[in-house]
Amino acid sequence: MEGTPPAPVISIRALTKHYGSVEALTDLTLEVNQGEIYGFLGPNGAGKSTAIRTLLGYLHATRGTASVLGMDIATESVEIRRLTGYLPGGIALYDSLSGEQVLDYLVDMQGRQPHRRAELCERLELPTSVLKRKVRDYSRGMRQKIGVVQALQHDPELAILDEPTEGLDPLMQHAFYSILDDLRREGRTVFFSSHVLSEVERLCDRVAIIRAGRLMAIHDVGELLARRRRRVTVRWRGAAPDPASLPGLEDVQVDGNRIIGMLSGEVAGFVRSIASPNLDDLIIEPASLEEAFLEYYASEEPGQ
Amino acid sequence: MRDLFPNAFHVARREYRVRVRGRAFKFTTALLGIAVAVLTMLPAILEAVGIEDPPEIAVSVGSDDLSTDPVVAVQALLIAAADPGAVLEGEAPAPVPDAEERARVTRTRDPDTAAQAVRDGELDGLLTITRSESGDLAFEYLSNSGPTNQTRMLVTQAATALAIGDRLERAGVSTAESGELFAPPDFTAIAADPDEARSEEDFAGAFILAYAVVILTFMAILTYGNWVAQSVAEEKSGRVMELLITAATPRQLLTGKVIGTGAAGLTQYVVIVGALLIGLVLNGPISSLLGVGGGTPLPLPDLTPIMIAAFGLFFMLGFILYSTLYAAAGSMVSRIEDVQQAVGPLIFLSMAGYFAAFGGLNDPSAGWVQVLSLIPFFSPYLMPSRMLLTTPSSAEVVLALALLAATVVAAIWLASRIYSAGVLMYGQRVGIRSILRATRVSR
Repeated sequence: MEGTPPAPVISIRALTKHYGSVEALTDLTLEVNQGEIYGFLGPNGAGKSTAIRTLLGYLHATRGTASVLGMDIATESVEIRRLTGYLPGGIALYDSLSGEQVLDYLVDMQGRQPHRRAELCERLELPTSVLKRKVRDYSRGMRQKIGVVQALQHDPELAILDEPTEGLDPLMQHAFYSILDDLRREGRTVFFSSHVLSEVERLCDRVAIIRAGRLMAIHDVGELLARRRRRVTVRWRGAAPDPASLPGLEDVQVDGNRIIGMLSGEVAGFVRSIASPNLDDLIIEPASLEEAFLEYYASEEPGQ
Repeated sequence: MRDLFPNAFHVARREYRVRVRGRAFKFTTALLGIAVAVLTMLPAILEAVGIEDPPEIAVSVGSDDLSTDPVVAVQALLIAAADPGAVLEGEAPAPVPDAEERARVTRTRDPDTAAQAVRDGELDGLLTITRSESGDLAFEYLSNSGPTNQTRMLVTQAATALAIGDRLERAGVSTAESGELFAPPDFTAIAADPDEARSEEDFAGAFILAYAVVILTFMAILTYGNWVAQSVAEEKSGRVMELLITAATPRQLLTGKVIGTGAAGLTQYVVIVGALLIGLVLNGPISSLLGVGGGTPLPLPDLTPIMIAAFGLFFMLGFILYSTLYAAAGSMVSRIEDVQQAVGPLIFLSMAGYFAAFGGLNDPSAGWVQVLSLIPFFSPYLMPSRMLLTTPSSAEVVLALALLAATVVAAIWLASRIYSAGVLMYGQRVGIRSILRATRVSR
């Protein structure tokens, strides 16, 4: 999508964090470019939060280096934290303050203007009546919404969000996705972790997959989706043609005048090859990214 | 100290508001204020309701050859604490306006009834005087009071004076002569340093004030220091810290917390001290309103504004020193339950200063007191008491303040390192080694 790649907003080189003998993160290397929505995907306990907290200077890397917004995480973490919008995983707020007071307090200390707060609160359905209530009385979802608002209210260049949709109901998840879409349109960079694949598929330009502290793969989501296999059902009036004449179709089952198979690669070539007056019906079911990943892992189990 | 302030101020303001608006704070402050005010007026109130009765003693004399009236002698000591010589000369005690209010001594001819009255609590004591086989006087004091009871001690003194007077009389010394024997010597204490010369009342006032300064400093450090440690540990264990630290630096958070909590502590403090002063001021009017004598007003020593300023400085610096370290201690634990353990060494240190100061009050010019009064962790306790009781040179006071201020700066530096390392370390037990390692890398 971009022209010449600008300097990466986040650059991680062989980042490693060990707690004693526990290897929480090993040799993570990745780059996040400006304007990207970057997904950081992995099951619970894969080391996502460890990586994020190391980036923000909450943890000290055992080995490796990283820079955020061009600043070194080991020496300039204070400045990094100031400029980055951060949503910690499992957010905690002051119970004795109201949601609004928490937001004011944080933005006062950052010394920035909460340009986006009103818009964010509206989209996440946080009316004034809720904002005036004490955090003590908030549900898990409300706290999470406040967390999202505080991370984005001052319109940071870069937002690092740890499991942002955790605790949000599907409707609010949707609102959150559309907020991210807008951020992308405005050229903001977002790095966020998730263990929900469909979320990443919906939102991200690229995705890094991490498992047991190790990076498994980095994918361009568009490419991944293009590469994935689709389940195809074709029905002819009359006899079906020889399956061998159909390019890219695998695992073929012939059932009378019907052929069912998995199509990988380009759709256009396949459609051209079946185009005939006898074509009765064609169903191409979109495979989800989830299937694409499962496939990916099935062929490339971590064996290193 | 680079851009410490706008944010430290935000932190302090939140800390102060939350603390002062809390129900616990309001309740404790009001309760302590009322308790202190009531305590200062308690003697007057007790006297008014008759709980604090003046002592009432019966004397039964089993020997009629006494030259001095024992009733007069006991009464003299109980009321006026007159010197025994005057008692033996048979002088009636100097007329005290409210003598009746202070003690009543009566002669009884019916010791059995009197003894029963003591047992029933109607009388405070029964003194029985008999002459033993050896010819000496024998005394028996029946009461419920222990050996430290004021009345009992005075009765003992009166008995001693009576017995010696009686022996002298039997040896042929006249009462008048024995009176002279008992007269106190002409004794004058002269201060070697003319600056140290002060009246005894002035010294007594200074002594009480020094006690008060030491106790109040100790309580402030212990109570409000603990607040700081608790609230740091709360933010850490509740993980609010993770969010805060995106907006402010550890040093800003630490400074703000110490200032905010300190200010809240001082607010409570001012209320309590204010209640104390109100209690003292109202003591007179209330006593006369209740129709009782009331205590004598506390003689306050002369304080120069410079002295008061120095006390204020010692208090503030000592308070900041300890609470900064309390904050660091609070940042080292992951669970609130562990706070007490982490602040243990600090409590020990402040206790040491407290007890040293108490020892020092009795001998304020001792060498060890002079040395300790310069050492930072002890000077907030010891130097003010020294300044009240003796006259340390201004160079000493300035040196103590300078050392204390330098230690405060060092403590803030150290504490903010421990704090920045500590507040984000979860789960692991924070030991000395991990702290040292963390302080090297974090900022």
